[in-house]
Amino acid sequence: MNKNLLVYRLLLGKKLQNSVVALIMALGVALAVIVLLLANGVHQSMVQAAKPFPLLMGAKGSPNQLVLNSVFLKDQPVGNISYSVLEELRQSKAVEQAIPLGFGDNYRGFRLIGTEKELFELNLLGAKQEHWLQLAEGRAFADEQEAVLGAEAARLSGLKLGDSFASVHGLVANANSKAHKEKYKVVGILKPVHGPYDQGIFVPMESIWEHHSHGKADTPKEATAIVIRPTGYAASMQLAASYSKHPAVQVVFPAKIVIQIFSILGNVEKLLQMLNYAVLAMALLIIAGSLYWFALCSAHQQAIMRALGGTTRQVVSLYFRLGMCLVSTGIIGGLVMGHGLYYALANLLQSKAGLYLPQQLLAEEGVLVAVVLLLGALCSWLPAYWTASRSDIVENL
Amino acid sequence: MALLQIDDLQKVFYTPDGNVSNVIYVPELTLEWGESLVLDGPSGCGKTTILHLISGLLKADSGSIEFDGRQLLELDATQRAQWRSRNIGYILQKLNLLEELTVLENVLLPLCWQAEAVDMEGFKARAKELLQQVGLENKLHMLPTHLSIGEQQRVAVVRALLQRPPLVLADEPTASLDKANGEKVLELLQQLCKLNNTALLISTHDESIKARFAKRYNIRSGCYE
Repeated sequence: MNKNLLVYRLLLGKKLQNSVVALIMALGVALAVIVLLLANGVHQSMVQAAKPFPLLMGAKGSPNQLVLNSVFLKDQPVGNISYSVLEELRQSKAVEQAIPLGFGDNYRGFRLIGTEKELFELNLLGAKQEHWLQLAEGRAFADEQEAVLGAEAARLSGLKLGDSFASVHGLVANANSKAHKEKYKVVGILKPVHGPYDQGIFVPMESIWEHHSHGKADTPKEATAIVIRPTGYAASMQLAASYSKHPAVQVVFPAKIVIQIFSILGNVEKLLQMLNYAVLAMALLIIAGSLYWFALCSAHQQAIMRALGGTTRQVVSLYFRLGMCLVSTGIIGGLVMGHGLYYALANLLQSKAGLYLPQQLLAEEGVLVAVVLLLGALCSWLPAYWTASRSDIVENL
Repeated sequence: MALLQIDDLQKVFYTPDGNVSNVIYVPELTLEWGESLVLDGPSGCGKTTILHLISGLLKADSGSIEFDGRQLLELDATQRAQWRSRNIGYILQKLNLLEELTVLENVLLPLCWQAEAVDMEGFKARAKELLQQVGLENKLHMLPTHLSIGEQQRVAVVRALLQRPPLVLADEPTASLDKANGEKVLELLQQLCKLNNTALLISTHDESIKARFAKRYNIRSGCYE
């Protein structure tokens, strides 16, 4: 007979009560973990999604809407801009690459992104100079009715190389929308980029113009947005400044907009965190109350232990261990539950919003575990000490 | 030297408003090594209190309790608990087994509180041997709730004798048993104490039990009978 076995037996003796205590603790920790992971994951995924877009040009209007639409493939486009702006940009010495994006059609909810072949040569920022969009299968489009699918669009739609599909007008799947007559042929599938563009279908800009001209020959050429890769930091600032007073277009830094959007989300995060701390505090109070009740109910047990030679210190230590077992079980359970739930939410966000939330262990989780352990230790020790040092052995025998 | 020597021991109990409610006084009591003694007296006369004072669960207000030459009243609560775990086998008045532990685990429970490392395997073997002697060899892994009261009391007897303590205190050990079971438990207790040369101090007001012991101490008169 050793103390560990004794603790184990005492825990098993009140299975239901102890399970409920550990579960409440686990829920508190899981909630805290989820809030931490989500806040961090969403932030990282948004920053990651904005990386390929050093500068973005679009029609005058809401910069948030421009970024949400062009970077995250959400929301409606702000409007269109004349194709002549693109040509003007390409003449500028401040611009290394300028690639148009055109939105307006979808296939089963996957947005068609009208663009130019050059998009597949757009380099990511950084020393590696590697292309953002890389082909996993096939080739880039060469003909007006050819399409390249994002990795998720291919996986979820089931389209393969050589398959044909007809796009429909609009940005979201709608059974009443009329399909365009001209079908696209899948000629390439991209490697995953772990961002919203995994859910895009890339087609030549000309095909978008064609589908939206409705047979009129003199329809002006337009783009929804232009991705700009400037030659350097000074060039990007110069570009932003030079277009700041332009009557029809705006140039934004998507990374900056992401930070602004995230600061709005940050308030929700703070609110969630406060709620979460309240839940955690409640869980700890329940643990303390439960252990106090446990210790009170065990006054007879404690008296037997002490009559058989147990010192106050030994008995307190035993009930402290018991409390810490519940706290540790709650913490481990909470971490598992939190990460499990986060994994499920990350998958949901990936398929629904194209946001790729990384699976990770955060340093903040370590802090959370340390704080909960410390408070849990206090909540375990206090009731154990209170009852063991104050109760009358003889009265409780 | 006597195993236990008590002189002028006094414990006063007070009501919540400060008045004296009861005074327990033992002028002189001696118990030799391996000797058996009955504490005699009617209910409420202080038999249990005297056992608690000897075991150190209660601290006397004045007087002297010497155990094997050691003055117990000088010990603090922790020292008393440690001394108790090494020297006293206590059979409490009420059935005091932990419901969560099996029969074998209940018997081994006092070892949890030993300050020094114990030969657990050796004690386990002894516990099994003692449980066999009291007829519980087939119930080692049962919970106390599955035992009869007589069986539970036998477990308590084995637990008290596990560590071969020099002194066993038995507080009305047959009070919750019928006559046949009471006789059985008592016989067992006497037999095991004799076998281990353990002194036995037993409190009872049952005449048939008193008759089994040669030496009695009457608490009311403070004299041996």
